[in-house]
Amino acid sequence: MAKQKENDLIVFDNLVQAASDIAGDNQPVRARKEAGKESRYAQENASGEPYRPKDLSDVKTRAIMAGERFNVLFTDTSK
Amino acid sequence: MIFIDPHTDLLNVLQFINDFSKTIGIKNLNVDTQTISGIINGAVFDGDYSSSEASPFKKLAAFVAYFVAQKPIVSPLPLEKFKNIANHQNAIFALEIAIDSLHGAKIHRGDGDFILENRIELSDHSYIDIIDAISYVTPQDGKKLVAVLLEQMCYRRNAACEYV
Repeated sequence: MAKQKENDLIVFDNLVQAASDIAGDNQPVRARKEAGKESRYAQENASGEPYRPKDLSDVKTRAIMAGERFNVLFTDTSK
Repeated sequence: MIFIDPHTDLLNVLQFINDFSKTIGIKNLNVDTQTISGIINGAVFDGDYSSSEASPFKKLAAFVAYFVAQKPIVSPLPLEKFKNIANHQNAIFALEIAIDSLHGAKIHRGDGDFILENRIELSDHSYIDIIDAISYVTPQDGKKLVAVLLEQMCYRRNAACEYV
């Protein structure tokens, strides 16, 4: 198997996943940047489609905004 | 952010979970990435709710149903940080991804395409009730109610986009 180059990977710095079958043995979540071979899902007959982000930084920006809204609703500032 | 292609969908979902969790103050959230891939595949090819046929509301209802049922978020929420919300972390992440995916979604109608420009907004009271209501949905049971709920929440903020 070809060795995966580090710069071909995205590291999600706040996510971890199991690294082995040992409980508590976790590692950061990493993923390939590009799929390369996967084709887009057909949607031409659909009656609509969800928002398509421009790139991952667009997703990040929207996730941060969603988190800030959640904080306004639920963060307990009395503690 | 989903229903594009399998790998892009996975990256988008992971990025959203990464930054949403970080923003609300959860560190090192434990997730099951293989389960997330399975959830996306399940939702994309779910009969009348499939990517190739359905409205964005149905597509995202299918995603919510698979996500809630398969529980890919392993870590609980730090409840001491939040007030009044139960620890249904998978329902919370599923609802947030659905709401975000509907902000800017396209509606194809006979008289043209419309974009849902305005994001769904909820009070804390409504949010808590919806999380509680969707926490027990499965792909076999309750998906249609989630689709109708998402649709009505969108129309409340985007009345002109309703299917006619």
